[in-house]
Amino acid sequence: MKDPIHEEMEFHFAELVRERLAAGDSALEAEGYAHQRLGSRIRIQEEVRDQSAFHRLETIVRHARFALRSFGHHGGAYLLATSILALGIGLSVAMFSLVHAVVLSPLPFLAQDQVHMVWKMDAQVGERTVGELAYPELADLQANAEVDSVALIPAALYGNGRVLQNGTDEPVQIESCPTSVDLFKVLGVAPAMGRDFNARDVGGAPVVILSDPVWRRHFAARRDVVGQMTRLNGVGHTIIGVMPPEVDFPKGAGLWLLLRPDTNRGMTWLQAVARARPEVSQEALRSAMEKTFRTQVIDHPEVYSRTQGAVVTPVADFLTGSSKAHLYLSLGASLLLLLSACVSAGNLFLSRTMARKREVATRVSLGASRGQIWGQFAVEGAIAAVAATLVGSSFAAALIRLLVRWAPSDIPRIDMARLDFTALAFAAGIAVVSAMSCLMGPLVLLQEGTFEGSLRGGRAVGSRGGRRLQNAFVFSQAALTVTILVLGLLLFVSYQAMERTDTGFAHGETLTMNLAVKGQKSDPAARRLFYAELLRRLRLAPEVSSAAAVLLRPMEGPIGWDSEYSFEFEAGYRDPHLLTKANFEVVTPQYFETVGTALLEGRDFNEQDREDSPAVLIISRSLAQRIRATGREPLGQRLRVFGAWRTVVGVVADARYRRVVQAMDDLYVPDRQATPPTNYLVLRGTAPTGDLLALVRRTLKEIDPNQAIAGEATLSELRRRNQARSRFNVSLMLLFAVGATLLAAAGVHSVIGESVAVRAREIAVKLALGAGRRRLVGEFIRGALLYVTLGEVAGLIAALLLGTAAADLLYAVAPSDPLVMAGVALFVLSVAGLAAFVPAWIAAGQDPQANLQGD
Amino acid sequence: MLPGTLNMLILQVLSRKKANGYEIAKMIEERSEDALQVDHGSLYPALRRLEANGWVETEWAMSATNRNARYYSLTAAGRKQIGVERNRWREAVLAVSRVMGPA
Repeated sequence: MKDPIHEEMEFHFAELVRERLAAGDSALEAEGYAHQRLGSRIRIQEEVRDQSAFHRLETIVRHARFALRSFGHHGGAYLLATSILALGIGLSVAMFSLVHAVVLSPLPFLAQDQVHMVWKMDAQVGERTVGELAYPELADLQANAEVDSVALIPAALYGNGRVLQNGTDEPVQIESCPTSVDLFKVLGVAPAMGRDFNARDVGGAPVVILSDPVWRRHFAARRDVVGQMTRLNGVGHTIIGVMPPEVDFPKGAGLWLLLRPDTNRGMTWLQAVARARPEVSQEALRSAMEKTFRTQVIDHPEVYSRTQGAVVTPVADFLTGSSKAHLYLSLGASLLLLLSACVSAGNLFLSRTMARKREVATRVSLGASRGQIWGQFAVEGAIAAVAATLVGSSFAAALIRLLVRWAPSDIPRIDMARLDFTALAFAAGIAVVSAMSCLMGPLVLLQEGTFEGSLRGGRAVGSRGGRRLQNAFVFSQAALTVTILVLGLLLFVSYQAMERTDTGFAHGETLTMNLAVKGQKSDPAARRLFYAELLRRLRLAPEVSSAAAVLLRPMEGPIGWDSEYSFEFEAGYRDPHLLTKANFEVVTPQYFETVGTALLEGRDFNEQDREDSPAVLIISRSLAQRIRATGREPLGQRLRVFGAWRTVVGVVADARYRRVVQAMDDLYVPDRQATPPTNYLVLRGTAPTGDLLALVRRTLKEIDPNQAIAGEATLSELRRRNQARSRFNVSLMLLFAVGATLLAAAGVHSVIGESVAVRAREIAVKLALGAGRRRLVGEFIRGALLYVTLGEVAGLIAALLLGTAAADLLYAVAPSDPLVMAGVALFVLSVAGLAAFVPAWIAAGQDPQANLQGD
Repeated sequence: MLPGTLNMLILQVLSRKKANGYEIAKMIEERSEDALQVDHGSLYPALRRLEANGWVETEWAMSATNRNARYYSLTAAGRKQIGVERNRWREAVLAVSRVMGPA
């Protein structure tokens, strides 16, 4: 651009000449004067041109250099803030997706809110015991006006397996669900092929409906299977339908069959699933059921307890069970971590803004409005939040896959978790929150007008609002970190205690498998003969050290046979309605030495404990102690179990049959004196597991080729499976705890780092005046540690409340465990102390000269 | 002329009315009753600086002497800047008088 300076100079010169001419000078004098006042016009022109060119160029270079320098100074903080946010967003989005898949997303059932599970409950002895139903009660439930439809299914699938022979493959045992006709009507689902059960099937020729996985695996997904015959437990069944893949109810059922009608009201082994009529609430359904159960007491006083009531659980809660609490806890922890990440990012942004105060002040003095400054920060915050959300979401997608693979397989529907639209909406919501947390700092500083006055004041002037916000950040981060750490540590201590728990089964390598005898051999006498022959042959094999059979193997799940019992010495003065229950097992001789449960007193069962010999019983140590407490010797005492009197011949160590964390009394009876079947084979040997399994299969084929084994697992595998959820959960929590600790350390570090940078001059003066390094450092970190400590107190209170709420996830540790609390508080304080100490120490060790001159 | 005061003086002069370079120099001299002598040569680099900062704007117009001249006038930012410059000047004067003490 051409500068008009030349014309301006000409004009100015002419004016000066005109001025002197008017004053009466000669033309020569006037020009001389003008030359003298104005100086060299050429020089001025050059100076002006240089300057304007330099000015324009300088502006551009200055801005560019500034941006670069600013990025050099603060880019690290910027990147750190973004990655911290991405980490927090990734973890919480992943956890949200899991919770969404397992808990929140609808089941494939029509109007699922109307579908409920129904059990009985008896509130005797102050202990709520859940009772099961018998087949004749189906009619009682159906008579209910509030019920649209109702079906009965077994309370547990175990023992209901069917041996499937499709004619081509080896016989295989498949989890099966015998049910009443209306099950699929209750659920509101229809077969993908073929038809549902109907009333004509009841008592007619046997029919079966296949699940999608069974249809694919054992029938090669052939579309012509409907109408064909297949053999189940040696009996021909007509396949009438195939269910779609999403129908997995009860979880794990591979076949659905019809329950055989039965009139025995004492055979309680079923649970009901009922669809309430529209507009009937859960509570309304429960009171209707309760009324039905009370009527039962009047109609059949000899069968039912006067105190029986109803328990009604929504089907979604029933399916999700305890995994719900676990997942919510992890989601909660991940959200706390996200909050901590937001605080960290907000803190970094605030520190960065405070460090850039001078730059901002310069721009304000050059005429930039608040709105423009705010806009610049808003853009920076939004970019960070959006970038973090994008990175975090892709991180979440990878994490979901990892977690699904890593998670215990018994968490229902967890494999459906993916980064779907809902999860992305959740992520977007988080992005808004995190952007806001990033902008909070700059906003506060702008509001209090820090920038306008700070140009002259230089770095020495801090921002009170900014400092207060930083303290709030440090406080909340310490609180969050302590909360997550305490919860994580409580779960970890629980898990450790679980690992250390003596389950009473010393032989982890013992192999166990389901071998529920099917077909004609399933009557008691034939079954006992079958097992006796199988065990005899197995024990003869050189690689087998011991073999036995049992009703229900250890840690098969939270299920089992509960048996009421009473001592003979109590007879006469004990209220017959008071129930005392113990875990009931039917075992063959050699069982205890096979699983490694120590025999403490008396003897094991032997071949002399026959059907016609005196009824005997072995009890666990805890029960024996109860007898001793009355001043009697356990051996020789008589107990009534399942209506029969039995004499105690032995005492064995306590064992945990249901769950590692659940202690119960145990009662053992010999198989030849019990009606319930031995359904599991246990085997201990010197050969590898695979060889032992092959031996069992070979022997089985020799005795009865129609029987099949299922669910092979060693005792330690069963235990691992039992603890899988806890392990999964504790690993997640520890992951979150480590993340939270790192974030807290980074947060305190950045606060102290920023504060020493701002006060560099003050530090230099103090050092120059001879202040000791130690005193200075102490001065710097004291303030930060005060807020850390306050935050810790808040965090401990929060953790105590949360821990008490989640107490059933804890084992052998109280939510208020002083060691855990003190340990976490001390740990967080030391981490924060170290994080504060390092930048303070470096700053206090500087050369005062450099800083005083540099500014 | 005291260093650093030229900007302030120019802005102050322009706060009354717009003026060309010659008029600005003359007005400063007249108003100071010729106590301040403006170096006419340094006027133009100073005006360019003010223009670059957005404190003054320019236009071409006919002068009182009927010639085409470049006229300078204050912008809103320039009007604000007078206050800043005046404060700075007052602080400087105060500082000097504190050093000198009462006469």
